[in-house]
Amino acid sequence: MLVGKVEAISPRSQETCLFDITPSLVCVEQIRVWTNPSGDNPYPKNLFKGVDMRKFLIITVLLLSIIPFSAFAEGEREIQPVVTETGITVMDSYDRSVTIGKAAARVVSLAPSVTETIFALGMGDILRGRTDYCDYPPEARDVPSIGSLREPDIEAIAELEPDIVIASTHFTKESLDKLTSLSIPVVVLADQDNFEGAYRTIENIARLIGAEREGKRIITDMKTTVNNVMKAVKGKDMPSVYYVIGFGEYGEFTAGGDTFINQIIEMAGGNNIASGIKGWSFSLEQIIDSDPDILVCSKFWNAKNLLIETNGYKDLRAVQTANLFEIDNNMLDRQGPRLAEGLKALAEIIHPDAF
Amino acid sequence: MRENNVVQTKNLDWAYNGTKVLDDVSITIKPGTFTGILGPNGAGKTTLLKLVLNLLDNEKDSVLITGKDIKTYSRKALAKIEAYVPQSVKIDFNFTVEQVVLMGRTPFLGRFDRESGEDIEIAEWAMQETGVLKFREKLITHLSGGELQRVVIARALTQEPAILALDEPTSHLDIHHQINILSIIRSLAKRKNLTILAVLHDVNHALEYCDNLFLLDQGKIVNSGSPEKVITPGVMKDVYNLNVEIKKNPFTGNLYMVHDYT
Amino acid sequence: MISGKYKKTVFLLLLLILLGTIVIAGSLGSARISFSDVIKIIISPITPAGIENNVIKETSRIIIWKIRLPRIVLTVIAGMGLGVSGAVFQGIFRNPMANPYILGISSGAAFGVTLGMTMGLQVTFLGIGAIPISAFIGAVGTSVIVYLISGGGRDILPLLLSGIAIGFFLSAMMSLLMYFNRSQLENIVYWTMGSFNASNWQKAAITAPVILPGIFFLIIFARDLNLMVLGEDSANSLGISVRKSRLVFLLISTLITASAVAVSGVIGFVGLIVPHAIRIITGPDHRTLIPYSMLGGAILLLVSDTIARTIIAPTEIPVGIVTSLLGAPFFLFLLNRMRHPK
Repeated sequence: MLVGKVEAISPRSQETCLFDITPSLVCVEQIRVWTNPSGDNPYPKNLFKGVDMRKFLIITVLLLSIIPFSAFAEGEREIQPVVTETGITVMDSYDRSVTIGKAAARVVSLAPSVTETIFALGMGDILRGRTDYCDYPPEARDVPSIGSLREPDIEAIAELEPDIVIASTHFTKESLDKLTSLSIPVVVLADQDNFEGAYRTIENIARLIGAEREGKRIITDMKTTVNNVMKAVKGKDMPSVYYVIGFGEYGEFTAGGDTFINQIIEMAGGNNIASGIKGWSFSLEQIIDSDPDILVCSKFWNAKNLLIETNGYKDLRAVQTANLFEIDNNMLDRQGPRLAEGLKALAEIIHPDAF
Repeated sequence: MRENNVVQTKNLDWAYNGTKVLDDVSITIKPGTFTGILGPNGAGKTTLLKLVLNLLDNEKDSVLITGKDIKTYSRKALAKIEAYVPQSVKIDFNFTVEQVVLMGRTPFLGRFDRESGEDIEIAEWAMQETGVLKFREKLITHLSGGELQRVVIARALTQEPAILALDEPTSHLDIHHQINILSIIRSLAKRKNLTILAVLHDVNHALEYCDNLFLLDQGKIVNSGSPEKVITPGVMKDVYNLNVEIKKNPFTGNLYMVHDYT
Repeated sequence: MISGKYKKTVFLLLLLILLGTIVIAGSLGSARISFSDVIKIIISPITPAGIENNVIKETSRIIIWKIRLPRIVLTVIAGMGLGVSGAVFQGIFRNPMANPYILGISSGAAFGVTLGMTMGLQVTFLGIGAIPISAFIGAVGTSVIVYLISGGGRDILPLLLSGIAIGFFLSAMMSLLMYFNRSQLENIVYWTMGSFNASNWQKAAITAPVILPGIFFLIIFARDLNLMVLGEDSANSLGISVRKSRLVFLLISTLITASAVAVSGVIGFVGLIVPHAIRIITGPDHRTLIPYSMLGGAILLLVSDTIARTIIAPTEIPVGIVTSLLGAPFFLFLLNRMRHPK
C-alpha cells in the first residue's frame, strides 16, 4: 500500500506556487516524492536536470492524482476520473478530481460568479452560504454570508454542513487546507479569462447540483447572444475606447492587452487604447494623448460624477461630448452567467446604432 | 554709568532640581576691575556667571547691571553690554574663524543688515589681540582646543562689551597663551575700562591678575576682597584642604602660592 | 568651500539648472511632445495669438497645462520646502545629520492618512481631498504634541526623544489599523512611499502660500540659526532668544514640511542630502545655505520625480523610492568622507 505525499516546491513560496492564478498548475522546478513517512528522499537532487520540466510535471501530477489524497483530506473518498451512476466527478482548476456521491443539496459559494450561476440555474434555495460580495441577484442577500473571498469563516462554513463548497480565483491554499482537513469537499473553479472557460465552469456547477439541462440552456443562450453581438458589430468602424477600472490618487488602471476585458472590448467592436500595454497600469498622459472616442466606467461608486470632476479626465473630448458611459462592471468582472449580457451592454455603448 | 557698581547681585539664591547651588550670594563689582571667582568644583561658580549673564530663568530681582534689574534689558541690549566666553565650545559646523568672530557683531546689526567694513575691522582687531588673525580662514573644526578658546574670546571682544564674563578661559591653553590672554584682558580692563569677571581655576592666575576675588564654597561666599585678603593659608586649608605658603613673585612683585603635594 | 565672490555665480548656476530641468521635465512623459512644442505651449499665454498656436495639438496643450505643469510646479514647491526645512532642522538640532521628519512629522502624517482611509473620510476642502487633509492634520498635530510633552522646546534632547517615542507609538497604531483593514493596505503603503501622481493646480495653489512665504521668513531669520549653532548659551549671550527663535523656526519648518508631505506623501532624503551637499559647497552660513538649499531641493526632487514617472512608463515608481535610491549611496559617501576627511 502506498502512503504517499506530494509536495511541489518552487523558487517562489509554496503557497503562491500551488495556487497560482494561471491556468497551468506548474511553477515547480522540482518534485520530491517521499515514499515513506520518515521523509527520506530516494531521488537525488539533480535527477530532473535537463528534463522538459513542464511536460514532465503535468504528467506526473496527473498520474499521482490517483494516489489517495490522505494528506489533504482525511476520510475515505474514492477518486475516479470517470462519471459513474454512483457519483459525480469534477476536475477542478488545480487538477484535483473531486467526487461527490450525488447531486449537492447544500452548497456554499465562495465567489460572486458562482452565486450568480447557482441562482441562474434556478437552484438558489440549495445555497446555504455566500461571500460578502455576492450581491446578485438580490435574493442572494437573504443567504447568510460567511465572509470574504480570501478569508472565509471556516467554522461558519463547517456549521452549514455543505455537500460541496465551490470556490474560484482568490481562494487561498490556506482556506483549502483548512476545509479539507475538516473533510469538507471543495471544488475550485478559477476564472479562465475566456468564454469557453466560463461555459465549462457553468457546466461543472450545473453537474454538481444536478441541473445539467438548465446549465446547457444557459450556455446556449449565452453563445447565441455572443454570436448576435459579433454579427451586429462586424465590419463596422471601431471607435477607440478607454475602459476605466481605477483613477485618481492611486494612479490610472485599465484593461491591458493581455486581459479578458480587452478581449471583450474587441468582441464588442471597440478598439482598446490600452491594448498595447500588459497588465493594468496606465498613465493619464497616454489617455489624453490617445484621445479616445468613448470612455466606459463603472456605474457604481459614483465613478462617473467623480471622473467628470477629475483633473485631466474632465478635459477629454469624450467626457466633454458626453461620451462617458456607465456599465455594470460586475457583468464583466464576474466570469459567470451574465458575461454575455455584459458583452452586449458594452457593444450597445460602442455601437448604439447596431442594436 | 550712573551707578558705581556695574554688576551687583543681592541675596542671590539658585537651585537645580531642589538642590541648592547658590546660597545668599551678594557681590558687587566696580567698573574697570578684573574680578576673579574661585572655588572648588561644584561650588556654583559657573551658575553665578550664567545668572550674571541672564542665561538662566531668574524670576527674582537679585541681579543688577549698572543698577538696573537685569530682566529689564532686552537680550539684544544686554548683548551690547555683556559678552560671554563659555567654558567649552563644541561646534559641528565648519565655520571659518573669521565667521565665528564676526558673529560677535550680531547685537549691532539690524534684521536686514550685513556686516559692514567697520564690523570687519573690529573683528580683525579682536583676532589680532588674541593671536588668531593669522588663521582667520581656517575652519574651526580643524582647530586645537586652545586655538578655539582664543577664537571664542576674540568673538567676545568683538562685541565691544562693557563687561566681559569668562568661564575658565585658559583651561585649554599652554602656559604661553595663558599668560598672553590674561595679560591682554587685564590691559583691556585698564585701557577700555572693561569690567572683567572671570572664573579661574588657577589660584596663582587669580593672585597675579585680579583686583578682587570671590571665593565660593558650596554655593556660599566664604571670602571676598583683595587677593591677599582672600587667599591665605588658613582659607586654603579650610576650603581646599591644602597646605600652602604665600610668597612674593620675584618677577612681578605680586603674590603667588606654593602648596604641599600631599 | 568656495570663496565669497563665487557664491553669487553658484546661485545663478543653480537657478539656471532648475529652469533647465523644468523645461526638460516638461518635455518628458508617456506622451511624446517635442521640446519646441513644450516651450511654445508654456509661453503661449504671453505670446500674441498667432499661427503657432494652431499647429500644436490640443491634447498636447492639455497634457502640458493640466498634467505636467501642475506636477512640475508642485514638485518644485515641495522640493524647495523640503530642502529648506532640512537645513533648518539641521541648524536647530546642531547636527548635520538631522532631517525634517525627526520630530514625528512623517509618522504623524502616515497615521493621519491611515486613520482617514480606514474611517472612509470623504471631506473636501478647497478642492483638496480627505487624504492630504488628514496627512496635514496628522503631521502638525504630532509635532505639536511632541513639542508640548517635551517641555516646550526648552532643550533639544527631550524634543528628540519625544519625537522618537511618539514616532514609534504612531507606527504601531498605524500597523494595528492596517492589520484590521487589509483592503486599504495597498493604498496606505502606496501613499507612504510618496508620489506626485495626483498633482493638480489646486494642490499647488494651496501649498504655495504656505511654503513660499515660509521660506521667505526663514531666509530673513537665517542669521539667528548661525548663532544657535554655536550653542544655546553663546547664542543667548549674543542677543537672540534661543527659545523663541527655536519655536519660530520649528513652527515655520513644520508647516512647510507638513504641506509638502500632505500633497505628496513621505519623501525622504531630500531634506537630509540637499543641505549637506550645499554646505560642502558654500559653507555653513545659513544666510546662503537656506536659499541655496531651496534651489537644490527643487532640483533634486524634480529630477527624481521625472525619473520616477518616465523610467518605466506608463507605470510610475513612487518618487520616495527614487530619492531613497539616490540618497542612500550619497549618504554613505558623506559618511565615508566624514570618517576620512581629505
